[in-house]
Amino acid sequence: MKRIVALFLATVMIMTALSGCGNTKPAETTGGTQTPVVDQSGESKESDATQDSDEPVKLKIMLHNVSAVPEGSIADQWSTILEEKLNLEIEWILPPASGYEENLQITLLNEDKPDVICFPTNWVYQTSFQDACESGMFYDLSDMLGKYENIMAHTAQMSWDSLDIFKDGRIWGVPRSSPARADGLWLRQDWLNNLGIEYTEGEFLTLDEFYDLMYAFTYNDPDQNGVDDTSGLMLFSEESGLLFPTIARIFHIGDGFPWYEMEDGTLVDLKYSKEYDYYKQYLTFINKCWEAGIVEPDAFAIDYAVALERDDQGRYGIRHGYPGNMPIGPEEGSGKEYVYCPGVVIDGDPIGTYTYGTTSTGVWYYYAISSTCEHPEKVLELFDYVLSDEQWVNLNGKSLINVGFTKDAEGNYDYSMTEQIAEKDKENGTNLATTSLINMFLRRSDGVEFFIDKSLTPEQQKHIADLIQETFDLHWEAKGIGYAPKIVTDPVFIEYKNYMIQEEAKIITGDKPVEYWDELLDGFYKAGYDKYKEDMIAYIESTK
Amino acid sequence: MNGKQSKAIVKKNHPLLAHFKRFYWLYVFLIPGLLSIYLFKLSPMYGLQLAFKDFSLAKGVWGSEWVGLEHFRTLFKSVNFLRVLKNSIVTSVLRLLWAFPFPIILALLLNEMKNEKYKRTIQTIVYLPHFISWVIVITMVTALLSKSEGVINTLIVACGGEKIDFLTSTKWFRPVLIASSIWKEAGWGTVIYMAALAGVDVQLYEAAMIDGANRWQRLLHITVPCILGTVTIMLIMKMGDILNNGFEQIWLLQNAPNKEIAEVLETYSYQVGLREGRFSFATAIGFFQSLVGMVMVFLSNFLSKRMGGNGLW
Repeated sequence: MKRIVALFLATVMIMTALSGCGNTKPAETTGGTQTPVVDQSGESKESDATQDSDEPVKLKIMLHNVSAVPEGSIADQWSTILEEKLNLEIEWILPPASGYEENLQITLLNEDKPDVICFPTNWVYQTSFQDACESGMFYDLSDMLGKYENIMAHTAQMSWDSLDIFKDGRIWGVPRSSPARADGLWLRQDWLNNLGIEYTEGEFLTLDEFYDLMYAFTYNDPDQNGVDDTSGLMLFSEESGLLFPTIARIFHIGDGFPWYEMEDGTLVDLKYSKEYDYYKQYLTFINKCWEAGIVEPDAFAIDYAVALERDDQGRYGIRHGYPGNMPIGPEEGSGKEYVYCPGVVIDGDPIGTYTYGTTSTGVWYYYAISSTCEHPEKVLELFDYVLSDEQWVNLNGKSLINVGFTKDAEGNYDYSMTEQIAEKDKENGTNLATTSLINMFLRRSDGVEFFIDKSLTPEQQKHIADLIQETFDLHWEAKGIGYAPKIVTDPVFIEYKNYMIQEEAKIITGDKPVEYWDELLDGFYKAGYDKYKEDMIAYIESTK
Repeated sequence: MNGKQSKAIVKKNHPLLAHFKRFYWLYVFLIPGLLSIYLFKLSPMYGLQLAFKDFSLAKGVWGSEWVGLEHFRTLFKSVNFLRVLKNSIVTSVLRLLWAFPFPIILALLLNEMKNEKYKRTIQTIVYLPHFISWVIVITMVTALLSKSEGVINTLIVACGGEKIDFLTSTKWFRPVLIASSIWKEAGWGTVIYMAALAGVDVQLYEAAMIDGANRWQRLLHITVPCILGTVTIMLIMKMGDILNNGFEQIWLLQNAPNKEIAEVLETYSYQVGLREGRFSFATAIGFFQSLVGMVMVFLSNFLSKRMGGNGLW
């Protein structure tokens, strides 16, 4: 009997050890090279001739920044509408936002890929993505897109340019298209009132005023609670280890270190330029703020999520922000209220105003379709439908009509339905009011409309629209977007760039003088930046 | 005696066969372990070839081009290599000096407790942190040591001191790392030593007591020598991990200002491998780590035996 039990246990252990080793999907590739199963006209070659046409097409879609689509939620009901309309069965794959890029790297190595994968914008430059495209891991969509009118009508041309990653006319994804903009700052109106500081919304601050404001918000007890628990500016570390560029933007450095054309026609990346000292000015200013203790002292040790939590607790007087997302009026309970500042200007700056660019112009996440997807035309059909006029009401309202909100004949939105669902969520510990899927999936690139909170009054909407328009106007168009010289994959170049991040932190914290930046720049040029610069300028010149 | 009979006797008496016949079901129990070693340790080793290839997603592991020792040359030439290697070794040595003896001391202290109920309660409490993930532990550490709202800094200021940059200064990185490591793992680390202590012959203590040995003398001359074999084996195992510092804890505590001393081979390989898609280079780093680990195991085993102690084999 003992032996029988022992044998049984051993069998169970073997089965347990082997569980998870199976592959639920037959391998579709060999040697890492995959071949699309449709022709380039976008017509699907039915892999199963006997497939019942009434059977829904299954799609697995991997998304970023959507934490959940709970069953029965507003987002889930929207998803069901899409499924029914297009005869689809969609499985949303939602990895955690932190570590999403690591997840992507592993997904690329995995044979069992989702049909659609959402990539952060910077991945258009990633060697892994380029390699994956070249290996046939994703569809070249250039010949398929033409017949999808809504996709073409509501996507900016610059977005397509960015997704033409080899600059040969092939398009490797559908962008979540976005107008480029230069965000400003949200100031705590209630704290300004408490401290008796006057500020009119829409005015630029000078660098000195900005510093004084951060100082007052840190040391003058702006929340009047008698405790030293506030900080002038919300600041946090990005995944690269660099600080978020709230202050760098003042010095036109921009997001992702874009290339600009200066007034005299020279092409320059202001961060690594030896001709312009904007970056040293930035380092000098941020070091002054750091030593005065008027920016978040844990900035290097916290990420955006933690910074947001601290902001919710009422810690910061100033934070970066987009007017379209800014809460209007005092917050219930805390009394927290914001006012929008379009930016900070530097005295005597030849550029003359607050402006910066971004390397991600026109794309704010994009979707690539795996070559293992048997029905890419259904994916494009889905995208096309989401961007259609029929669905625009939901995208624009960032919820689902008649479920999360109603809209009257005059175009006024009423979100009391969402509020009721949210109330029930609070009672039941559910998350049925979530709409992040609708908000994050796709959007139209044209105009400010999408970005305005529809729960605001018409006057408030007009006010916010004007502020948003200003962010578009202040944007400095970057050059050479989507192009990366070959040297970026050189290990020595990458290593030195990483090394500079840690050394730059020493300048900010005051462990090294600002002049140390010159030494670092010399090293970087030797590590390959001179070649990078040469190639980049040649490329930009060639596109003129 | 005919041939058939003699064959049967040989078969019957063959010690190996007899041994297997008697204990076959114990060997059956070995199968899951061996399978798991094969599946998760041996079979992925084919991927080691990536360290000598220029891996391309397009060509796959087998189809990628051989580049010889190119990645190792790049690693050794890297501006970061010596610093990262030094950090890995220093951090490991510090762990050995501080974190390794802690479970032994804790186990000895627990062993001296006479009240069984109290002893078990303490054991349970000290085991608990092991089951908390590093993400939670580091969140707690950040909340405690934050410069802007940490409890410790609030206390320091209340006592008239100045706030300390625990989380971003290079000076404090290692103490915070080792202390949090001890807090989390020391209790769990006692398990193996408690097992060793349970195996000490009680008669030895009784004899020593008759001879007039006090508690300290019994600890020093009986308990410690009796668990020395276990300590040696654990030390040799630790030596094999000399370049492995654990990824999660360091990654979560690491930031740009402290990176100079916080970056170790694991975080470096993660940064340049997974995050930047340089899989071959990351494999070369992992391979180098494993080689050093193997050499250290052989070396410490040899030294341990030379000094008259126990060895792994």
